[in-house]
Amino acid sequence: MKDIDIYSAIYDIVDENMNSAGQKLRISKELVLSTTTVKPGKVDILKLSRERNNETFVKKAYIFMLNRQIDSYAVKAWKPQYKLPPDEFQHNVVTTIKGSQEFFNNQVRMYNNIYSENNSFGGSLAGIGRPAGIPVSERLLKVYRKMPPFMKNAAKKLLGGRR
Amino acid sequence: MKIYMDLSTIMSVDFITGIQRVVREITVRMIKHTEHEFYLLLYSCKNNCFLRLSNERFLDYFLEGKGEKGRILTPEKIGYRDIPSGAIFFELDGVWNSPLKRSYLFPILKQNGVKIVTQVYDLIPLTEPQFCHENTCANFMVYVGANLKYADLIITSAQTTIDVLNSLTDRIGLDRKKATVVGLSSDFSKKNDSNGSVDPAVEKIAEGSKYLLMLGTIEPRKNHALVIDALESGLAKAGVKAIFAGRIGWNVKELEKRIKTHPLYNKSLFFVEKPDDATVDYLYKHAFAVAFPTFNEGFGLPMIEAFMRGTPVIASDIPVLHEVAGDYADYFDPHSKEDLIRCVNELLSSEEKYAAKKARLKEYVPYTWDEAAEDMLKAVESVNKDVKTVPADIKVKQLVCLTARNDDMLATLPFIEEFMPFITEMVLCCPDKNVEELKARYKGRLELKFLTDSQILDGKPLPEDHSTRNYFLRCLAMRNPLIDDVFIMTDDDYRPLRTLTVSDFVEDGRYKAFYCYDLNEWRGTYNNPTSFDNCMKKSRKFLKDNGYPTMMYSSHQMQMIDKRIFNEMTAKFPAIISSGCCEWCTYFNYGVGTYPDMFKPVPYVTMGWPGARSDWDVFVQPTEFLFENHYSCLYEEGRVFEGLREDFHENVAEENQLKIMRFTAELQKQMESRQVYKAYCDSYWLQYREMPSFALITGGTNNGIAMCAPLYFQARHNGWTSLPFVVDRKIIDVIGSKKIELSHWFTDDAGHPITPTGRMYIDLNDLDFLLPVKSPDVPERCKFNMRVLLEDKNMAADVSIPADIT
Repeated sequence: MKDIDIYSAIYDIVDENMNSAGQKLRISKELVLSTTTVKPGKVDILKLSRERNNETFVKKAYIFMLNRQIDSYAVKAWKPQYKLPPDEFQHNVVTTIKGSQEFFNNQVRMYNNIYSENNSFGGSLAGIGRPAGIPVSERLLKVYRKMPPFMKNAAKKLLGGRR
Repeated sequence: MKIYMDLSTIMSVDFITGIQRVVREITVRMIKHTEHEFYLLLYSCKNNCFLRLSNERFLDYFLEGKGEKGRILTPEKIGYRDIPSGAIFFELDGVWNSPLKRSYLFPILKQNGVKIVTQVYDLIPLTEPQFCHENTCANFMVYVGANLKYADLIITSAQTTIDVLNSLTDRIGLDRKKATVVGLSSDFSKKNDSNGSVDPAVEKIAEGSKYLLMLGTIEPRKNHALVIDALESGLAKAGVKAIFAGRIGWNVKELEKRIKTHPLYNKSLFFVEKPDDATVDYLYKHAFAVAFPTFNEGFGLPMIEAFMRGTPVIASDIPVLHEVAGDYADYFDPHSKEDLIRCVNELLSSEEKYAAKKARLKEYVPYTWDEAAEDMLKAVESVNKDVKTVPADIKVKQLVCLTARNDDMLATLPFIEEFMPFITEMVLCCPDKNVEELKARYKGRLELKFLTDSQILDGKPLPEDHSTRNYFLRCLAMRNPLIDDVFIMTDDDYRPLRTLTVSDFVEDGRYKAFYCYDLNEWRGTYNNPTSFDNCMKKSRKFLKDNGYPTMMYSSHQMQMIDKRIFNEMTAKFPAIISSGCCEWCTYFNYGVGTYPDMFKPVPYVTMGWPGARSDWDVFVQPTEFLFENHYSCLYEEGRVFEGLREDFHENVAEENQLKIMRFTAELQKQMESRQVYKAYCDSYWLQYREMPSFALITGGTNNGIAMCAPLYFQARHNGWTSLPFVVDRKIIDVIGSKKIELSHWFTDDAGHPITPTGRMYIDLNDLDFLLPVKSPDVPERCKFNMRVLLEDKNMAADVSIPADIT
């Protein structure tokens, strides 16, 4: 039997026992199963960002970035932002958790942080999608470098702003 | 025997109750057994490994009460893969909330053939989740799941827990786990436990009063409310008091409020928060009775602690408490205050009866911690007893080789003759047309035996794919009586480098299983998947689907095979024969998983795998070289073996030493490049709290593409860096094609290229791979450029970052 099937079966049993006690298991099966894939000390933000449901994303972010389930205070704090576009919401969650003392203490290493201001495009996904320029030769570049600024701007506009 | 114990929880909490007490009492006794090597561990998130604790300082602190807890830690790091084959990982501490999930750790331990023994205190978070914090419940599900899958032995403190465990495995459809009961004790070992001074306030409450004592953490499961109900309903009027002693636990705010605002509070109802051991001892000794109205327990230590002090116990009428306390306790329904009152009234009704009950408790023979620790150790040792091993005097004379290349085979045979004197027979599995030529050309001492394709296939069609064909042929050949039960399997280009004996293949009664990678980590040949890569992927899937370890044993060297185990595997999984899996990976992982005492996974000993530094990133560094994986191209000009001879000659032994030195130097360069890259990652992480990462992503309103890169890059000059590169899966939707071109190059400050452009066509089926980057020949500050261009889509993503070439 696959590992994931064992965890899944255990969840079902616990869920049933909780229902028998007249209560409801608040943590979803998806979140419990996601904890089984946590690599200690590592979190890949690009993979995490594939979760496009804001509520689920923040719960997963706590599991992967802080090694724990989200607490009720955090749920209350994030709830007003659930309606934001996913990229904006994810940016806020990742940046906030990254800046927390708890994240610092846990020493989890963050990979592929597409929301980081320290990456090549400054973490603003909205800026992606500029058109590509026409590849130009080194000779043309030399000419370009000698141009006055207004001509450079015109050339950039014409060629799409890329080398 | 090496026994590893993760004691992260007891090392991180500032209280010693319940499980922590058991961990302390058992550990301080066990580690005195010098016939075993005990490795006490603490999980370090920062280092992503274990840190070793000092056994001596652990004893000083936890047994003698000397020293500081922080000083128990040593700087010795122990990686998960460092725990060796044949060792036991003994889970005594309650580590389900650890960030190091057992769903991650246990498969790694099993890949190494480590045995896992776990003390399961109870299964309450599964059976009665309403009494536990949901975080605990979630973590416990994963913890128990990993144990059901991977543990070799479960130890519990009561048969009742084993019964629950069995019903759980039955329901899930798993085989029942091997399980045994080791009881717990209550005698104190820490010198100061009962010698301190008792809290005078407590003495004042307890003196001359008849009180029911409830000792332990205040939590819903312990059912303190029932005792308050009983006080309200008559017990208080009858002159009975109740003392709750312990710490405030989870989800008891309402109860805490009820206690502290109750009209009987500090009159008949008392709460002693975090009592010290002397006070606990005093409270036990002077109690009228210990009340234990719990809804469920793993053992019920407070009952034993009460008996040992001659104090009667009234307890919940549940199976586990009957099992532990027998007829020494009186029982009541934990849902009925009336029944609890009845029970107390019976004790109150007759002083003679009460005195007789106390007198009988003097007969109670406690199970001591010494006995518990001895029994626990015996249970742990039992997993390595009466196990099937490889006979010490095993005789092996046969080499079996699958070959279609006569020249290569004939070139390799002299090396075998020279360096493997115990081999007298060679079985060649080859195409029919090869036989006559081999017979004619070979004049050596080995007896050649042939199994031709037509003999092996017996009319079955031969698969076209290289890996599938090899596996198919080997599986069928393995059934032929010509092949010995135990033999050495090889390929026509695996050459021994020095004299070998059987002991190079068998150690400690176990077949050595030489691994070179973890299939889960294998990224293939730099985004250029070959038949070999696909074969590895198929093998990983087969092994994972069937719950076996996933190490890569295709180490391109000779390995010893027990064909009975191989045939057992193919009989169990008949479809595997034509699946295109890897014979080495499937056989050894099946063996390690099924017969862990017959196999010893060890790092591989092959020179020339990989052949070149840029081929793929080394996962495990060979500790020595016993074989050469022969590549002719490595003898060409500019390559590592330039000027050396490929063929067998009389000075081959000396020349092999030279080859090893050259190859080691080459490997060392790769390791140095890796070290520079690792230091760069560490320093970047310290600076920005994130790892330098390279990724091609998509986003924005236009659904464009962009390169996500760090602010700067560092590499060793004239080295190859295996740069992890990730492509966002959404890219496929954006570009609508399966392949894109990724180029990279270094430029000087003026923007002039200083290295040739490296180009790679990214197969978007493989979105997470290593990009081989060759750095400039000399140290300098320059720029590292990467570019993805999609001219037909009018899209580009490029980046240019400062690079520090050291």
